[in-house]
Amino acid sequence: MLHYDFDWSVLWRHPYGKMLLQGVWTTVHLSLLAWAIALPVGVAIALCRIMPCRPARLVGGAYVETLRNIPLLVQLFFWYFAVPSLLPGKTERWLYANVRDLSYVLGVLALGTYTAARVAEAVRSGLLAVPAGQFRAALSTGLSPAGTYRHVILPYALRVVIPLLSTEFLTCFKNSSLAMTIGVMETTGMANYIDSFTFHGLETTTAASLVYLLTSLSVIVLMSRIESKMRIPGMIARER
Amino acid sequence: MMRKLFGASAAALLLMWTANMACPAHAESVMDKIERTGKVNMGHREGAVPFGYMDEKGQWVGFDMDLGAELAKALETKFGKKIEYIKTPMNPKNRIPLVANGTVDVGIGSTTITLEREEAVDFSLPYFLTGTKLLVPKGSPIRDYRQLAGKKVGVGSGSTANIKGLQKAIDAKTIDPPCEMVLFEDHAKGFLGLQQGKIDAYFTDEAMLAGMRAKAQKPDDWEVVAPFLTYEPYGFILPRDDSKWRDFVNATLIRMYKDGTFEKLYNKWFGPGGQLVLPMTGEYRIMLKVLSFPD
Amino acid sequence: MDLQVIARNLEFMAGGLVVTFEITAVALAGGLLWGILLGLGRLSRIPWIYHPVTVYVHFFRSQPLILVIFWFYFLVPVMIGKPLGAFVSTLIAFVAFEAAYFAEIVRGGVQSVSGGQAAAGYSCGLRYHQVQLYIILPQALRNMLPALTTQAVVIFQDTSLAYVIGLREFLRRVNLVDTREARSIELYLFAGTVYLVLCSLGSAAARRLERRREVGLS
Repeated sequence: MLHYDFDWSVLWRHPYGKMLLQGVWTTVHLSLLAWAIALPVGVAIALCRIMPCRPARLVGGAYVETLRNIPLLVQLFFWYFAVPSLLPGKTERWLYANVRDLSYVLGVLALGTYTAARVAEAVRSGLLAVPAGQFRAALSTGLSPAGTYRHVILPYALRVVIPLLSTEFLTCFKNSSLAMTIGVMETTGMANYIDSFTFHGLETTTAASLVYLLTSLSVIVLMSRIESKMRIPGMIARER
Repeated sequence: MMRKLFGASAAALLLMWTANMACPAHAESVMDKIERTGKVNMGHREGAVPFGYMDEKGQWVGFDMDLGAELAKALETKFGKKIEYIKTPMNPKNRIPLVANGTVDVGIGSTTITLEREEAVDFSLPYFLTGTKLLVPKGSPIRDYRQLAGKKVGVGSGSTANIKGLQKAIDAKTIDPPCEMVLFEDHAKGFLGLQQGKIDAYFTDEAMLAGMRAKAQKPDDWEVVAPFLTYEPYGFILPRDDSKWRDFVNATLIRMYKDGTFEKLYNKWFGPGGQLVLPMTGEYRIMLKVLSFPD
Repeated sequence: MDLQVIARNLEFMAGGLVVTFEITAVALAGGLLWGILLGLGRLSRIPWIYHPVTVYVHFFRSQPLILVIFWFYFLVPVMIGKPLGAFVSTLIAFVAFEAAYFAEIVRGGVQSVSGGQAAAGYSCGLRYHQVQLYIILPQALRNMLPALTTQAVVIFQDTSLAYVIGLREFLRRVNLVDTREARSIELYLFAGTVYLVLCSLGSAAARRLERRREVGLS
């Protein structure tokens, strides 16, 4: 019943080829920025959760539980539709008037905070894998508690969870596609957008799929190389 | 591993290509399918007042849906049996693909007939005539397109006709320095953005703007300004190369123009007692008259 | 805070939860069945089973679910010449996608069953599919229960992605109400709370199963 004329030139034809590349580039820097937020925040939350201080543990636990049990799309909508109105009127108006591409900024924040919760869980499993004696041994050498974390515990824990972290980065990369729902023209959104002008959605979506596939494979290969260099003998936290 | 992956994807693409070549280019007409299954699937808008929208009771109603009901009734008369009228939501982004891939049999959703779209789908005769304008908060300094310079203007991401029209104005330096085009999934979201202050104006067809304004909590807070920038005739979206179905749809429309049904439906939604008051322009009336082909 | 807007539209939005649960149930059942086959395929030593299955699993795990949903709703109909409804294409997309994740869970579960079990089964004269069906899988599934429950919670959250093709599940309904009522804060807090409560219950159930399993193993 349907006849589809494939037109692969849509992938490099002006202006669509450039638009597609812009979309891919947007995906890349959106994911990296979100990851740049997620990593430090995630480590901080993980540390909060193993602190002897009860309020810190509760706050950390609440953060992770809340952000992991609400779908990312809902969080994204909340950031985009609701958060600006929560700000005082003057700030809100300043935001709209002066921030170009507000959707992008809010998308980064939503993705970053969400991924931070997942990173926190991964890092926490790494921290729990550190043998208990390490902390006491480090303290006995004269390091302060903060110092033990900085020089002994964290490096150990992070090396153990590198596989988990690489999985989380890939998830972050894939989740960037959700930003298209609030108007960010990343890979998936751009493939769709080009489709509405040219009606050659099959070609553009195939290209988008290939982008994610190649990225995924590259990250896996890269990570296995890094992991083999940084592996701690005898302690590998494998994917659950 | 990479080699195997490429091999598998190459095989899949080859399979797709041969399947495409092997399939015959013709198939049964939508008319025959409707007669066979007793169902007609029509796509309608969800956030376009008063064409297709959710009213206070959560019901999905609109001018386009009444037109669809007339079409379903005509089908029942033609086939002499009950035809189930199924409504599928569609938005500016997916309305063309949904008809092109056969998910819906006809798209009645205030879609502008453009030559570019004619390459992927077919259209019925025009049934509505309007043009693009701007929706702004009351008292806004924006009165014409020149004042959009440097401002944020909202457009529907699937309203390619609107996007092209605005882009042409930017390229012709009518709007200089260029405005920032902010894309929204549909007009309802665009209006929400306007209310929240994310954009300074929303650009689309006057009928849509009037509808958005009518449905606002305080219609007097908004106004439609500026002369028509582009010309927008609406048509039903139909699958390509299906003359049987297209002729039937056109005949139904023409009959409605001639026997007054269309005018009645128009006044229900756009007349004095309707959702919003948008009297038919002179050109619109002439268009309907010209299309009233004899039997 | 206008909480009335939630009360006014509760029936409409709650109807969306029904759709969400339906999709979750089908995706869970279908995905698990297909995932078991794929998981066993991943452990197979027969090359023409192992390689295609591995390609399938790696492919689907590399794609964002949004893209898979688009494929099945817009593009597969163009290729096969037949339209699929929003609901059907969502179900197919979910089953195909989640099966790849279940495959890995199943693979882990089956590997956790001690090798002696399979050997004992074969020595009793049972064939491959009997060994799997009566000996390995029941034990593996018990081990996998916490991971399966977690994945069920993930599927429940992922149903919100069907939003992009206009499926009237819970989140889209909330969104439709928002575009009419313009009360984003109340509505998205409501949506978030509903998901939070339901998914927390699911995660808590998963944790209890995990703890019970650890106790039972001793």
